[in-house]
Amino acid sequence: MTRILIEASNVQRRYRTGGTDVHALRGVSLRIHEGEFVAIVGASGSGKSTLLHLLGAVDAPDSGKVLFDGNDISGLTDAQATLLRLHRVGLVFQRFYLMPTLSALENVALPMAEAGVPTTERRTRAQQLLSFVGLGERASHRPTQLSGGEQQRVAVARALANKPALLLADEPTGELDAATGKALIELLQSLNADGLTCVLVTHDPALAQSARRVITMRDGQIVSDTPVAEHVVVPTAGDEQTANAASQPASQPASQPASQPVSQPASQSASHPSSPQPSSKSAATAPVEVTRRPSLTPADADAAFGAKE
Amino acid sequence: MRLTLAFAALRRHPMRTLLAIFGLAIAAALLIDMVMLATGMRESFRSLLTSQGYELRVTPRGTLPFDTEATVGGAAELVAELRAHPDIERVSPSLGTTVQVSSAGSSRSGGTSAGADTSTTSATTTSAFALGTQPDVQGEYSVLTGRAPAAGDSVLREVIVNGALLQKLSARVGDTLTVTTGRSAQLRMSGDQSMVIITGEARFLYVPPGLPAMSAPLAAVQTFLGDAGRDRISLAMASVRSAPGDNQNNSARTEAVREWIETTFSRVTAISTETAIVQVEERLAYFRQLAFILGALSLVIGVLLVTTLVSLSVNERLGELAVLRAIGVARGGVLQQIMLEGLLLGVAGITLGLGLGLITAQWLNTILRDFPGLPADLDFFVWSAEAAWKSLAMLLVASTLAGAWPAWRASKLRVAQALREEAIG
Repeated sequence: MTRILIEASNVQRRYRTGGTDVHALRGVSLRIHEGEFVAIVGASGSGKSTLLHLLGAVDAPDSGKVLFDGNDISGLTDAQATLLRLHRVGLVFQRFYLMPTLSALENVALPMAEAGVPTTERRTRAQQLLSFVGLGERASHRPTQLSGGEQQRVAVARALANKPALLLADEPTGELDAATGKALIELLQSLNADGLTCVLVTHDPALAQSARRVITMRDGQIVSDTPVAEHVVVPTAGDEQTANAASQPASQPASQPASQPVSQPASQSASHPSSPQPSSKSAATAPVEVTRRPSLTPADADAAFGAKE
Repeated sequence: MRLTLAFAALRRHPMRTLLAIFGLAIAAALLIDMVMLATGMRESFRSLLTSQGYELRVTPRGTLPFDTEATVGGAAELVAELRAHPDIERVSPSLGTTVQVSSAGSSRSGGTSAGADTSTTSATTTSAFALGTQPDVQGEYSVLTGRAPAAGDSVLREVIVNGALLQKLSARVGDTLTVTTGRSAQLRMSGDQSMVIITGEARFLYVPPGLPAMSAPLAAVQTFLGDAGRDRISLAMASVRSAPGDNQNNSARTEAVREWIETTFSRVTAISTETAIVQVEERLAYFRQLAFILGALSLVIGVLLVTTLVSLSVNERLGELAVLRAIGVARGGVLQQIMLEGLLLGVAGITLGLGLGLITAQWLNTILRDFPGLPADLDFFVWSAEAAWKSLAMLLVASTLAGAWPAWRASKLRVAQALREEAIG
């Protein structure tokens, strides 16, 4: 078993919105190990985004503890939490939230600039990350010149900029069509395969099956936490296997080789975020046996996402 | 990167940004004009009074120079005693009067003739300000072309005139004019009359532009005026000996001489340049207050403009700013970026405003200099680099600080709440 990256213990979170108190989390406890790919699923208002924010030190719990790499992050000061997010957490949002007046390259370089990475180095690395997500040729494009899928890939590249230990994605496919969403999930799977711990929030149970573990939330509580038996190819709209995705081996994309079993999450030494040259990883032990696919190469990414929509 | 982001934020709504910059430029132009106006007249007046190196002006008791037609008798004795004072270096007496001047053709011949009727000799007649001075020490005019009248003349035969007189009479240097004592040519009243030659053109420092003026030797004007001018002067300017760079002692010496004059000669008032400037400042207090109020208003307008624009921009970008914070941009970073936006607006507005202010100041100065009764060399708007830079720096600081409130709000943004609201919105 790999070490625990994140642990939440009896976390509670209330907030006030629209004049009413919302008890978003009611004593949530969970552990996420290094190298896991966890999907948090639930209806709107179930508390999944709030939980994601707590795991990423975007927010702090009212009570309970969140440990990140063994350290309690529940009581961090704003500056400490900011530093943690900058260096250890990558965030991807539903609405991409790229800076509209910056190029794709500048958007990716932004967190590196904040972290004090020298200009030349960050430009080089930003270019590498864009190439990694299949957008090497579109580095100078503004977000408005990119499709939704491309913008989200830029957002993923931005999230990877400072080589985070944890990637949090809040409804990353929410604004994408099914095919583009599928390609994005494949990108996340590839990153996870390279060792990056990923937590994906989605309201779509079918999409959640692309992870290795699915946590279901309802009314601020975890109602189920189950491993995914098979690594599932993300269903696209109209795919008949959607309903059975959780339980049956799904068909692989034409470009993908046959799946192979692994026993544990990819190790921390995997090369994904620190050096954006994708590589296949040796099998690792996971809480459950899953089927994994090899890393996404730039060529794969181009093929998967295709040209600008 | 922060600068890039700040630029990018301003570029997002180019028209709005341009309008804000233009508004700020107008505020900056108004501020710089008001600063130039507030200090300009005083400095211009000081420069005018000190340009000829005379620190004291001696006038008939209770009057200002050429404020009235009053004159001082016993002028020769007064001037001699002033010149005898060890601390007085030079004395320039002058006598001012109004005369009628006619063009008498271009005969180039000199000489005088008394008692002639002006209507028979003049093609064009105009009244002019005539000033009797001692050409070797005078501080009333500077020669532009030709020469000053011969100093020793006690009979009116040569005059130096200004451009306005030349223009009125369509005369040139070398022409002959007929000068009559101040009686109305329209009423065909005869007076003492002289034929004079124009020896040169001069710029009269204290004469309003457009007012015809001429100058002749003091003795000649006194003789020409008969009893009204005999041994009389309107003004004597005195230069006090001074040590270069020792302003404090020089001022004290000037004040001592001024007191001596007033004590010794009961029929005169002695006014120092400093006193004159204080008197002018008192008279201009209204202008200065108005300038300061308008300047302060322009500052407020600038601050409000920047605050409004930056607040608007921040409110539109709450989600974006929350994401910046979420991906690891520190509070200070957001604060800096938003304040940079205010600073950039300020720099652009002030740069444009500086040019705009100088152009409008020049334009307004031209209009105000035509105001009747003011010396030609008096400026209303005078560029003072120090005052201008200080005021513009103040506006720049104000515009930067104007971004502080929205910047502080942005930096205090609750990231999770903003993201939640964005997701709902």
